[in-house]
Amino acid sequence: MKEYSQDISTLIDNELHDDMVIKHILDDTESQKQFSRYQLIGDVMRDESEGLDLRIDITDSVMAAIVNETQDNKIVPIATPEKVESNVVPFMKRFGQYAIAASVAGVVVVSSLMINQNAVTDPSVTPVLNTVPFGGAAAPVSLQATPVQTKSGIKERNEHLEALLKDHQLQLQVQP
Amino acid sequence: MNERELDLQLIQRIQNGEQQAFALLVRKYQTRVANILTRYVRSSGDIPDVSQEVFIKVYKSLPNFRGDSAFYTWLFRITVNTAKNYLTSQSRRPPASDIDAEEADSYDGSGALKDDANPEAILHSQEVKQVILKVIGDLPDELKSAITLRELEGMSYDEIAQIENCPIGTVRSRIFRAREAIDKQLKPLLEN
Amino acid sequence: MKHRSFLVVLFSVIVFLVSPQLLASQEETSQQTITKQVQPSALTYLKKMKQAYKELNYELLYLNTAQNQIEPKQLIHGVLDGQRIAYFSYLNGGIRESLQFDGKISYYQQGNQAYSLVTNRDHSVFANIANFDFDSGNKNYEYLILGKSRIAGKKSIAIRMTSKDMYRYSYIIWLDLGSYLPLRLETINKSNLILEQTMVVSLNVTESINPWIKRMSDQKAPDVLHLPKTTVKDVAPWELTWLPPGFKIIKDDQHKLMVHDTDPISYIMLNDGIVSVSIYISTKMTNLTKQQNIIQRGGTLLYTKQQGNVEVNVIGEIPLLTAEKIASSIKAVK
Repeated sequence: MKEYSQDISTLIDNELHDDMVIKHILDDTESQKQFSRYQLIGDVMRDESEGLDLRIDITDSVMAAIVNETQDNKIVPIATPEKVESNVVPFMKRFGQYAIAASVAGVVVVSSLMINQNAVTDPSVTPVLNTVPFGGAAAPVSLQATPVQTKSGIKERNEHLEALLKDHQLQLQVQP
Repeated sequence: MNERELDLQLIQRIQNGEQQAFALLVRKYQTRVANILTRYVRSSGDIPDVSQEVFIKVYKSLPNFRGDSAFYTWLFRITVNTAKNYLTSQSRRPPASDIDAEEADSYDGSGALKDDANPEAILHSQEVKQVILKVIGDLPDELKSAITLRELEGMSYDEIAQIENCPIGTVRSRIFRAREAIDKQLKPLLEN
Repeated sequence: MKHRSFLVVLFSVIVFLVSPQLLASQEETSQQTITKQVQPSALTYLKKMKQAYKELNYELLYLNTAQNQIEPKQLIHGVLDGQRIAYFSYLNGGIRESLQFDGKISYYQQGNQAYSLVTNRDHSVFANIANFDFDSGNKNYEYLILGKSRIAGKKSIAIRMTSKDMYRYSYIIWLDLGSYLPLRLETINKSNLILEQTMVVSLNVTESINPWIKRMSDQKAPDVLHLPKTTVKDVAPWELTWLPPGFKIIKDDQHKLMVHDTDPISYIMLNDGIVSVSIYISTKMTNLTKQQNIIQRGGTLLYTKQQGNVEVNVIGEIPLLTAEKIASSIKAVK
């Protein structure tokens, strides 16, 4: 099998006119991805990737939308790729993870330092601080493909983080 | 016009009905489009959506593209227009009732809050950048210089060959070897 | 702007010098130009803000916005015989308020018993910025006047404090040009994204102190709550081999977390004059799927890193990169 990597590199630099090479890339998912990465190298070098989520690749959803467009003149919303193409799925998966990162399940942060009634009566009992939900998200959801954490594991972890945040707030109040 | 210009080769294919060729234009330009959008679109979470809108518009208008300007210039114009439309549709604030009309440098900030940049994305993008710069830094000088002249100075193989005093074929292979070396480290970072 | 005014002045001076016959008519205009164009520097404005924030009697209604949450709040500040009194309250939901006076801050919450903490730091909304040492702060920040605007109905000036390195956030502060009090504050990251915003919607400056907070300060403060001291060891057996520029270690101890009755955890606090960062170091590992975990709300970051058998948690208003470098620099004291 012919090795196309160097041709892809040359093509990107506008130094190649070869229909076969373009045809090959269009037919081969791996080559397309390689094309994207070679392109990205230049973008990063020119600082054009600053602040962008480089894990997001919109090619599949654009292509799905275009196919749809020509079929029934409708634009597919980006979050609902529905076409049969198998490479649409990873895109969705990435979005799923993005959503999880944004709503970090169940962890809370302290907005003010307020304590519960029973705390003050006995100074040795540590106060329970009033908290607000973090980002307003409700139940923890984990769609990650990595080892699935148990519910109690997540709960324990969140309680620990919450305890740290509360302590941080408290330390801020009494810092020298 | 240079018949090796990739954009034109692709556009010709698309205009001849080979829709799939558009995928390569998206792959080639999506980072640059997103980068332009960051100047207009406040919420970084909206950038993929607006980018998609840009490319769909580009696709729809391609039959009108006559090639009298560079494709990138044309794409840039569509991107900026789409971004402005997005801003108009997003703005909920009444027009600034500004005092000091004579103060040309009136500063109003951005008004609305931007979405948090997704910290994981930032970490990832920093990692990608560090890896790329590290590999380039470690490349042999002749490879480093070839990829830099190409990507940063935008020089053609011919021009690089003159500067480096070597055959064009050598430029071609040096740039490829540089990309290959970087890609080896980059690939695992972009795969889930 | 600066350049432009400089040029105008320069031009007037040249005209003044080369055309003595125009002297009479020019003198007046160039005089006006000079007085109009001499604008105080950003640093001067910031120092005036610092003074105003401490010395004036005022009431602020303001909003805090981080991500999608908005909380309306109120601050009443007054000075009585050289002593500052600050009253703070949430305006929505259950009553939560605090009063800071005479080396103590007291918290009151509906349905709960009030308590006080001993503190000499100003905890009011703009305190971290307004009490900054702007003179020595120019080592880490650049101050720049951005322009004028209108906030809360007041003519204001926007000043940007741009971090000189990538290890801290930048800020934009809007000041009331009448009183020099802060009206709006934005925390900004290096990509110019606004992470957090505080905006005053109403400002009222008064000649004398608000009689109500004056009366409040006459009342006895609720009992002081002392944080349990840990006796294990005073110094954590960990050290930082890297500090972000401008940061100092201001606390280094071991203590129990206030919520759970945990084992004592090693604790280090850093401060750069604006931001305080807490570092927790423990050999007890929590259940993580990855070696690092990132949580962010507004400008506040909670970063967890596990390396070997040590877990480091870094909390504070700092960029991820800084937290990551801090966590990686933790070493056991030999």
